[in-house]
Amino acid sequence: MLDGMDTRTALTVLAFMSSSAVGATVQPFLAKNCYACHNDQLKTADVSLSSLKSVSDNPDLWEKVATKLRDGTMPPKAMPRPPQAETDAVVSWIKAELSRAELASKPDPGRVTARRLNRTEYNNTIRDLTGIAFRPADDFPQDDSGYGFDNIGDVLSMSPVLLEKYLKAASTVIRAATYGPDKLKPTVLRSQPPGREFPLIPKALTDYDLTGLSMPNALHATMRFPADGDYDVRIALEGRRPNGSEPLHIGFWIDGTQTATLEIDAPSDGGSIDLFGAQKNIRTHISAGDHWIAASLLKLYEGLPPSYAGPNPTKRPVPPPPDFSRFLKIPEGATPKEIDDLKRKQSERIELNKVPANRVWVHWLEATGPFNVPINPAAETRKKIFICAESEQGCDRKIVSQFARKAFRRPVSAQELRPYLDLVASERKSGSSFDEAVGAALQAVLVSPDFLFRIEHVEKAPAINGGSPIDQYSLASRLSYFLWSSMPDEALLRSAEQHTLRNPQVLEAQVHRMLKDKRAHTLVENFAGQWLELRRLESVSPDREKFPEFDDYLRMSMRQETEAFFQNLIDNDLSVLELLDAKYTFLNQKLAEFYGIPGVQGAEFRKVDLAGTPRAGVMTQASILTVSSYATRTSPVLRGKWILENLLNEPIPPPPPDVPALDEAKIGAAGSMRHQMEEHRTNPVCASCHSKMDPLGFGFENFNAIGQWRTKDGNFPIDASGTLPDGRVFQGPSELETLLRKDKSAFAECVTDKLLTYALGRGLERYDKRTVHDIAKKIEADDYRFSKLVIEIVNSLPFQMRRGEPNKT
Amino acid sequence: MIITGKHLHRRTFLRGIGAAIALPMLDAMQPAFAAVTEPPVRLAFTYIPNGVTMKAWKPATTGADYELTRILQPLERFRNDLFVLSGLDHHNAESLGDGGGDHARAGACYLTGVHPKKTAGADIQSGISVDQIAAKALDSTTRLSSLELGCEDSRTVGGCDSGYSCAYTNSISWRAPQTPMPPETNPRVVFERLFGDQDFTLTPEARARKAAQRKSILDLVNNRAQRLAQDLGPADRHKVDEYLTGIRELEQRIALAEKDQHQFTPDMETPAGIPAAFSDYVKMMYDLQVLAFQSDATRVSTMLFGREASVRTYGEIGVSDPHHPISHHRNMPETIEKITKINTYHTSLFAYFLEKLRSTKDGDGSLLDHSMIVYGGAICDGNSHSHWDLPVLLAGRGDGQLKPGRHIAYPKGTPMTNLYLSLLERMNVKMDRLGDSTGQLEFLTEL
Repeated sequence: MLDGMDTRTALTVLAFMSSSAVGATVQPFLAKNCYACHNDQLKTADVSLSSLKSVSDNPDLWEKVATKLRDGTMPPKAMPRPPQAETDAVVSWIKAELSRAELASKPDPGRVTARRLNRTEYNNTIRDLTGIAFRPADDFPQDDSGYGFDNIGDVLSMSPVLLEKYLKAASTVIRAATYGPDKLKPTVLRSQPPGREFPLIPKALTDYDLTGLSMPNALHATMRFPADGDYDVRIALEGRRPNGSEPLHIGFWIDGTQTATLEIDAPSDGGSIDLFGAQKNIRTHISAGDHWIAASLLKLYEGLPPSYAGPNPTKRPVPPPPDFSRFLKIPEGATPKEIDDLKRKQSERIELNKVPANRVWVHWLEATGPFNVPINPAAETRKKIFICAESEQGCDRKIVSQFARKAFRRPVSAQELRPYLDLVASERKSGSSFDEAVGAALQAVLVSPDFLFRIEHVEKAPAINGGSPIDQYSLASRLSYFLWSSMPDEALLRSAEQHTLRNPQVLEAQVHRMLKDKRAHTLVENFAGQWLELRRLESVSPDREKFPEFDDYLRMSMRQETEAFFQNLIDNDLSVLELLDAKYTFLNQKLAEFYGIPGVQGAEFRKVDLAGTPRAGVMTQASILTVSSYATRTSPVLRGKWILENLLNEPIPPPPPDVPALDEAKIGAAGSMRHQMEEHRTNPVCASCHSKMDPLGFGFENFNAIGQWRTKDGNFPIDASGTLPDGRVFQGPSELETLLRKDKSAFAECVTDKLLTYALGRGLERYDKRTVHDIAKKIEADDYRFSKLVIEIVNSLPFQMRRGEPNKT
Repeated sequence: MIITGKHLHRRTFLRGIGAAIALPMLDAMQPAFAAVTEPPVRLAFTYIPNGVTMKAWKPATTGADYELTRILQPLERFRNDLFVLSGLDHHNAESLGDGGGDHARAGACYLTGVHPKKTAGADIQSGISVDQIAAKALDSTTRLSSLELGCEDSRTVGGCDSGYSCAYTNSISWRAPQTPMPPETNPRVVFERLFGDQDFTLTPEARARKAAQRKSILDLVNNRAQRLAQDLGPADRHKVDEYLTGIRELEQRIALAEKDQHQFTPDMETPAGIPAAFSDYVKMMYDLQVLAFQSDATRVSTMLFGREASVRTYGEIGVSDPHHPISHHRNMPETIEKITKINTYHTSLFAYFLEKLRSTKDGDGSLLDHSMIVYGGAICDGNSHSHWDLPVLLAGRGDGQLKPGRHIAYPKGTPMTNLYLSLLERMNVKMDRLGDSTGQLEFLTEL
């Protein structure tokens, strides 16, 4: 704690630290610089420091004091500043005291409230329990989020609507598992993006995306196909082609691979070929699940009349252009030369208004099906559940107890099983078949609170440190829902049964195994997706006029870049610091062109070196830059806030009411955004937060609202320099990234905080701070590697233990 | 108890139930002394886009003995139940100086009689449509004031026809001049709006068995949760309490539903989504309208076979060209033949609707007896985009207020909106004007 200070400061601090009572040490400093406003009478900002005793009395308040002193937001700019050495000393003292108080405080593992399975967890659990891949929870109401994640026990609620859906889902799932999935009637999936405007390009281009995949004329959609089977895909166009053009070739892609080409033609309506409504269909096999479907025009600039000077002009006869000269008003006494001139000007005008070469696009796409669904007699799924034949004695007990053990994620006693077996018996008495009767009991299992909630039990042992270790089954569940968002597999359950799971070597081996399993992809989708706010990418709508190049393909690609980056981090067990400043990323052709990086071709994502570019880490990935902007412009405030909340763990309180809006029209015209916002920070009250957020955001102003590099904001050159509240300066994003990387421990603590929250399913409290701090310190020794972080979290007090219950009387 | 014009509301003792269950008319609810019951009059509109081949539509003679034309042939069994009306115009769908955009104007004008404002932006302006006027008068009488259905996806953003906003072609129903009522195109959503989430495919015995099983399951988990709650700390117990409350409410709903002996069972299963074949799609949407009328969920509905300028192809009848381009037939016989095929196909689907309405009992007659169904569009010839002498069919008896079975040709210049005034009159809604109307339409009741 005394590192990095000069001798004079160090001596001052030592002097302060000779006593922990406020009266003798820090009080002179506070009296001189703080009491004038923060006393018991004035209580400015509802804070009084004059009657505080030791730090452990009110740690929250002291922490605030330290933060504001360190950031330089207190004393406010208008007041005289104390010498930096004194401020530093006081901050260090407070921090030391806080640490001491936290270390001295009783270790408290905290307590997670019983968590119900959220939608993702429900779908995954059903999949792993029954082998059936359909997703009943997609019909469930949205889950509530808290602390940035949708798996927080306290926040997830249960409504009658949800219960009814659980009941229905249980019935559908068990029926499908026993008899096979319901035969689906073919239905229509449709994608029709909003209308487009294309710039008029009357001449054929020779250099363009020949595959058409990245062209604005393409249609991209993610469609959810209900079952494996044949689908009738119908593609419809809109637009016009000049008379005599050859038929158009439409490419059809599934998940980035072209699987078909269709030829579409249409007759001329006299003036041009009208393709509005021209459509064609193909039948193709598509598997169940979400697929990226794309359709676009191949060879868009080919097959045009020769006058367009494009490659491979049409071989069809091109009718002569209509003679409009009869509409020409030739004035009296015009000379032949003047008449020729007029005729020429008219043809030039007509030439300009001729159908541009690029004016056709995919209007909508429909997929109808499934047809020819392979009818699985559900042999596989049935076998998993109906493990014995009806004729066998006690078969019903066998089936139900195996299913319940897996569903409840723990052993089930005979007493607990009794009501389920009674249900089987009574169903049989009223005439149900064996399958139906057993099915009823299995449905009850899926609606039981033991399935829907993750209820944790503790080992039968005296409590230590106010908490008890959770039992091995609860530990197995915590592990699997943390890393896989799903139920524990057989290996985990067996390890719990044999009481070996808590063994550190076993635990570590399990973590490594689980991280390598493809189910760990849920960490990317659910943890990174929420932590980095990637999910918001689905709903942003950048202004079409300002950002015409933003289409669904770009949106999809942006998300995939960040996901691939994170997946790579997990797969190769890299340092989490890579998130801050990795000089590489994962791009496809669309995104590479968007970033201005040459040499990347094709739709697959591959690792690309970012040396020589201003980009590094996640902060400069288009996904992050887009979700932290508005639809029409960047927002340094949003970006600064994003960094503070998600990378430095310093959340900003909401703005005070009655803040007037920025005059949007002036931005870029009367002054750059930066200039406009400077004006708003002269107020010291606003400045207390904005001096933290704005400089960070301004550092990234070179990236526009959809993450492209720019050097001008309207008419004004970008000024991407800034000063952090503690006085450090930077010029542009690279320098800012370097400064942020210096705060290694702050970032490490932030990632730990977020991952621990996600792992525990509860918000972190003050008593967790030491856990976070300890973990961040421990992983430093191992270069902040991801697996190390996970293992430390799994071994931590709150993950392994639970606070005892208050007396129930 | 004196029964006035409104008989005892059938929903009187169903208040308080959360489920969407309705009763058909029960004998006990009929007025004690009146011999004639007064079932409500229903109003429905079906819209066909892009015009028709008038030569194959309009019968040569008027009166009751008119000869059925090719396009009207599929409606032969219903000739006594419907009117063929010719000579009606939508003057306000003409360009009137606004240039191109006849499809947008047609769609916007059809039920409003108003010349819509030419704009592709947010400042759209049409009128109030006849169905919404009827719906407003019935507000709070039926659970849904009206139903808007469509068999073609709406286009969401931007311009759709020569500078007119897509809002003008997406909907024909307008609640207010700036408030179009977007049609629902997914039959599953419509079904769930009308009947909730239940499974009607099983026989009554199977449903009873399933209900008993469900009850047993809920009992089991309820007991389990109660025992569990006793062992938990306060925070966890709160969660399980939420669960128990949910179970309790669910059990109550189910119990109430079972007590109600005259449960209305729609005779169709829950649609999965939009059916693959167009005829199945249209029939399903018509089935839903019949059920909606039968259960009195609503008395007013509109449906679009397609939006104006629809580009649907009809491969099932051998027409694989998109509809709109071929409606510009340029007087070429093969193209005209294709259009006529489409028109005939459409009327055959309309016949399905009439069949269902006629065979559904309603009070002392059929639903068709108590309905007024309009079929047609606001474009006559798709090639020239004409808006006069429109194709119009009016089916049903409106509870004795219509005497169909004739072809009536009205004098040139008769506004279509006069028909609407007459229909509203028969629903007890008195209007002075609707759009460009000049008065009521004659001859609908007299012979």
